[in-house]
Amino acid sequence: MAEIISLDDVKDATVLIGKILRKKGHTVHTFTEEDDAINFAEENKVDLAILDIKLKKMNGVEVLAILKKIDPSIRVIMLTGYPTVETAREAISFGADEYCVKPIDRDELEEKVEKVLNLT
Amino acid sequence: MTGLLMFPANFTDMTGSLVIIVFSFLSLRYAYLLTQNQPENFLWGFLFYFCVTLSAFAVSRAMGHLVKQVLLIGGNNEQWKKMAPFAGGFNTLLMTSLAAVTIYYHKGIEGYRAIEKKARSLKSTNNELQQTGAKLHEMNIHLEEMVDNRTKELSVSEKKFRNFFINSKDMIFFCDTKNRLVNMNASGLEMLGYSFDEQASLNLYDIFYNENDLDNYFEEIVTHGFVEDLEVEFKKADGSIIYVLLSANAIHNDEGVFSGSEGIAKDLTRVKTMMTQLASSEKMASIGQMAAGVAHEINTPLGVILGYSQLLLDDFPVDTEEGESLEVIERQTKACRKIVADLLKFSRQSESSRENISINEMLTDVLAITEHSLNMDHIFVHQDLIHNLNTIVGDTEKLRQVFINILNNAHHAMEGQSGDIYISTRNSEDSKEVIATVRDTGKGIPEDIRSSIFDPFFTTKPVGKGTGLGLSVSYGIIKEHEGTIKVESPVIDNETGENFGGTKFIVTLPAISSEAQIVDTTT
Ligand SMILES: Nc1ncnc2c1ncn2[C@@H]1O[C@H](COP(=O)(O)OP(=O)(O)OP(=O)(O)O)[C@@H](O)[C@H]1O
Ligand SMILES: [Mg+2]
Repeated sequence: MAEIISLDDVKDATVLIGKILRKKGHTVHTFTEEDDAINFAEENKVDLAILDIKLKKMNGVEVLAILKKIDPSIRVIMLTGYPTVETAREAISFGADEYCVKPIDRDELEEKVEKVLNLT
Repeated sequence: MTGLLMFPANFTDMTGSLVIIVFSFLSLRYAYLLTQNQPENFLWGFLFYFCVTLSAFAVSRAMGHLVKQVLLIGGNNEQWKKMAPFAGGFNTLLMTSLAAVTIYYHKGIEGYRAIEKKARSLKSTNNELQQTGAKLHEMNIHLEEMVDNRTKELSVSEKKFRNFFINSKDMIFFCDTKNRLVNMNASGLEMLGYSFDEQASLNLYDIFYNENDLDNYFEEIVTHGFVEDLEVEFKKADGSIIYVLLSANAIHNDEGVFSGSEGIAKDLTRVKTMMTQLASSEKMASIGQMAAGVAHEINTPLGVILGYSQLLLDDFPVDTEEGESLEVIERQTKACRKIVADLLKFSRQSESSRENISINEMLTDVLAITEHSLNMDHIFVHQDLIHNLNTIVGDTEKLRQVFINILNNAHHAMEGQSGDIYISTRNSEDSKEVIATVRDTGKGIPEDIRSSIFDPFFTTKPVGKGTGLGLSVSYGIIKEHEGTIKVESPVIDNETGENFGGTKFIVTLPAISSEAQIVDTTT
């Protein structure tokens, strides 16, 4: 099963993702601070990061770029409550694998995670 | 004295006498001619008389002298001596009369002058009279001309005003003191939907929608003599209302007595609806911005609620009471999610794709999804899609949304009853637009809410049934495509005037020119 980090400025949201994905057997580390998430990724092998676009200090796309620098093989799912074509394009150009609009369904999340992890 | 010695003197005497006779008769003839020429000339008369006398004198004298010479030469001295006093006396008489005539000549001439003066003054008065006569005549002719010209001028200006009255696009009317219509131009009658013959029986009372407005109008006219830019509502023949801008003046007759009013009214209905449309589109734009902000903030908490309820469902199966409650939470959260998604679509912040779209194909797709559930409710769809419909450019997904909204509304309008939906497409006459219409046979839209149906959150449906975003989102989408969406209810057939009831939505979208299309499809 996969090592996953989830980063969202709203704690409830990130905890929820953790709960859903743990039920699927994954190991999930939840963060509300960008730095904590980045530090964790530097020290641990992470298979998948689920990032909100709107964060406390940075935006999700910046975190995505940093994570990709740390480990180019990391898979990333971007989440946003406010989809715009610009952020979508940016996210894709920095190597995001999925771009989802909140609020995301449990089924949809599980499905997307599965799909992204199975990418070769 | 010897005869020889006396000869030159005698000769001179005799020839002189003859010469006098000749000259005097020449003079007489000349004088006679003068009198003939100018019989009224007194001087010539005098001269003639003078010449007659002179001639007589010349003759008598010549006779005297010639006879004397003849007698003397013949030696008849005695005889001459007897005759001499008579000849002398005759000559003296002649000379006396001549002198008398000459002396009285100035009197005669005075008389003549007096007469002549009178004649002249008469003549001059006559002349004057004639001149005045001529002048009068001229004036007469001139007057006629002047009257003619003035009439022409008047008729030109009258024509001008008549043209103005007839051709004015605005309403022009004249009323008497009782506000009865005396005259109204064709534009006015057309504006109100009355025929020419009906105007005679009209009163402003029939035309003003609000009696208050008429009271104000009349009071202003009577007290101030005019009204300016009064915004009032007029009632048309069919009872509908138009908004007009009214200016009018009091009319007074020659004695200065109030005799009615004359007014001019401009139809502002179109301007007014445009203004409200503008206002509502502004309102929508600001709501759109707000929606984007709200969506942004609300999606995260919604996601949390949705997720936790779904998580809990793992622990409480649906057949438990908790499971049922969780399902309700899940369902309602999803409803919220739809609203926010609609709002976002409406806010137009979510980008649109641009692709060539065949509205016919798109409608067929939409019907594939919706027709089944319509048929279940005994609603049948009739399609009339023109085969050579022009292509448009836009976002298929969004346009599909528009027609799904319209069909859903039609479905709801025919809830609980059977009905028909007529879908048609065609090109506009100039081929620049594609027109799609959806007509239902449902309950129709009452007039008082017709202007609100495109407002966000305007709904007549019970809570949970409709959020009132369908049409406002559709409006936003069509606007984004530079098209228009209009509604007609009840639907009246253009040709037959038959009232179909129900509602018709008309969506008009700009078509792309065939060249642009070719370029687009080859790339
Ligand atoms: N075809 C129709 N016949 C009669 N009334 C209609 C029709 N279409 C729209 N309306 C009226 O316009 C209102 C607004 O429609 P709109 O689609 O914007 O919202 P809604 O249908 O009430 O809610 P939803 O957001 O679910 O679409 C409706 O509530 C209804 O009163
Ligand atoms: Mg609707």
